[in-house]
Amino acid sequence: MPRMSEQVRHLIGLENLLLKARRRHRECERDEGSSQGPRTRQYKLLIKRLSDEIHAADKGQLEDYLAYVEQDLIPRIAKRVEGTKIEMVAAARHVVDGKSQLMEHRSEYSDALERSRSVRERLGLDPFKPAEARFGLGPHPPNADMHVREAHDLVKEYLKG
Amino acid sequence: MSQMDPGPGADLYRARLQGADLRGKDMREANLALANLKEAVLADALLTDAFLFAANMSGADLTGAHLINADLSEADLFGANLRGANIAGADLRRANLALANLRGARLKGSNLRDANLNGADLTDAELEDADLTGATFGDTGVEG
Repeated sequence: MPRMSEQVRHLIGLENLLLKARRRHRECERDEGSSQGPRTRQYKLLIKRLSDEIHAADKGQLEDYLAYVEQDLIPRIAKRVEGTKIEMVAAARHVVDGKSQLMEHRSEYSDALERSRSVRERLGLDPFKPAEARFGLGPHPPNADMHVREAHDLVKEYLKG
Repeated sequence: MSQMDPGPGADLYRARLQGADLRGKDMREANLALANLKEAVLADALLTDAFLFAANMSGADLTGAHLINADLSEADLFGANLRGANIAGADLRRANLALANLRGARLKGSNLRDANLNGADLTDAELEDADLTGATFGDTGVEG
């Protein structure tokens, strides 16, 4: 388990705020129907401020943060994705709820990969592909649509029986 | 750098205003995103169109405050006193309003999607045209 310094905790907090601000930016752009609406512009400025704070972190802090994302966050989410997949196949009748959960994890997983990519880019490191290496998952975990289809088929079979 | 003088349109991004006495202050259109306003006194303050994204306003006194069209999305208003506040048209998406006092608050046309209203007192609150999709309401007090 990578060490979790105060600075890393701070970076995690900033990243979480950045994700929330990006979400609000999209919502405002949709609500205001323009990228130049007053709220949308406020969020654009906020995103820049948060990004600048993250980029101001020194190399050591970024490396610690990267260790947290790649060695803790990504495996943890990938494990949850795998767990969800198994649950879905085992409990095919709950396919609709399972799909929604899987999509949520997929979104979290994509965000985590994005964190890894952006910090690696900042540090001049090669892109990291933890999922393929450790869990056999693709860039989007883990063949969700296929498993949903499989689960649908199981439901059909169950109903026939 | 943040301009720390509260006033209309002030840039108070990430300002540390915990417990500050800002009652009746005119802070229309101020940028208070991520500000720490925990337990601040903002009674009757003018915060119309203010930008309060993810501000920490837990335990703040916002009695009678004007928050019309303010952006309070992701804000922490846990246990805040918003009695009689005018929050019409405000954006409170994913805000934490647990145990907040919203008695007689005007929330007409506000967006409360996915807000946490657990234990909030909504007695006599105006909720006409408010969007409450996904909001949670466990133990919410509504009298009269």
